[in-house]
Amino acid sequence: MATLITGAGLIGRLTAEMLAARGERVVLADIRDPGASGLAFVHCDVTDAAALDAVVRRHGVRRIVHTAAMLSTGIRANPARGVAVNVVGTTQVLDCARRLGLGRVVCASSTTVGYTMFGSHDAAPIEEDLPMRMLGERPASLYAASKIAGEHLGLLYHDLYGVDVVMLRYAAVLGGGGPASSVPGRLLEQLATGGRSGVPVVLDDPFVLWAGREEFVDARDCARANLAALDAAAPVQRVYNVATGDWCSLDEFIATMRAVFPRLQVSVPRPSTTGFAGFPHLRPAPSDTRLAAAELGFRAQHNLGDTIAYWCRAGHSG
Amino acid sequence: MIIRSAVLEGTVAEADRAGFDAHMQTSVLQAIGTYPGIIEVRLRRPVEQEAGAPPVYMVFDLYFADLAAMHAALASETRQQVRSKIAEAMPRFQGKVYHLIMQEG
Repeated sequence: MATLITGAGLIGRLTAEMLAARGERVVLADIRDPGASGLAFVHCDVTDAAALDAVVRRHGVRRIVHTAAMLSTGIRANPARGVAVNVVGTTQVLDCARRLGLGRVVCASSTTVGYTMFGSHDAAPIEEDLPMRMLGERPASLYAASKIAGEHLGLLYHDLYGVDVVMLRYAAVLGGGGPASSVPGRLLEQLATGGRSGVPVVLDDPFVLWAGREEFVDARDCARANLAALDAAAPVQRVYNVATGDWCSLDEFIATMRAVFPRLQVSVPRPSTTGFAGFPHLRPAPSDTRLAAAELGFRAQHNLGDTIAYWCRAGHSG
Repeated sequence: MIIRSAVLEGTVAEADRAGFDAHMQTSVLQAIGTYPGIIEVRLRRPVEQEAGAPPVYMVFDLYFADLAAMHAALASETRQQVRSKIAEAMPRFQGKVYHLIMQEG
């Protein structure tokens, strides 16, 4: 039995490595080869149903971890392609599982699905079933919209066709040692470069700033959550937050970076008055992680300091 | 710990010196800081010259955990970006550049 990992980005590669390390057969699929990873790689576009079916049949795939997606920056640059990859691609993965009668399908979602509720939300922490009750709220970003669509599609494929779907909402993911395509990855890279070189950092990209506090999660924890979601015996809620339960301000984030890089100097010419990544509202609370613990047996292992030290000090490239 | 030192031995014309130094202290240093696996980069400049010493203009010290990390960084795409940043300033530099790869202890 093999597990197909769609998306050879950081979380996809880490997930594949962790599965391979425990002796499982994995197939990593993407439209670009990540290079010498030592993992079985196939070229496959998730929007192509026939290509997905062929990979599943050829490699004896029984389970899927679907991480292939375009991130917010990529979607802003090419909205139609973003929706095709995130919404149609997710549908094709789910439909492949339906047609071929596969087992568990774990889909990567995002805590951004709940960000537009932050302005009117008074409960703490942010519940794991929140967006299922918020159809009337406009998601404020195409990325969040595509992830909300993915969650609904996943749950419907479970309800209507019995596809064994688990959706994981990652908090802002930190990790990788090289050029980053994600918003939190860019922040980490910019501060780490300043910390290593001593050249003062000017944080002037409004997307990497935030007012109030935001939550972050280590990419290694996301990969561990994927494994926990593959293994979970009886998931009921089927949508879970992958977060630490902790949150921090930009100043606290920079202070944590400075613990690793004492030479780090940062200036913020125009401090943000909004939430993270350009979302309008400030985060009112961290995400609830109790259901992930209870139903998946997953708890994040890495706090922010640990995450930053691992990915920056050792220069891991993921 | 491996320290790869890029030694710039030579001179920069007085009129070009401020611009050359600023480019090295910002653009080049920043580009080097993006090498995958690099721990730290420092720029050193002589403060006094003793008799018999070579005319070193400046030295970049790149810190890596081990030789494998250093070679991986130099094999990465970042090297072309660093080289192109350095190339922008090199017409103003007269001399030679060489590298020393050393370890502590």
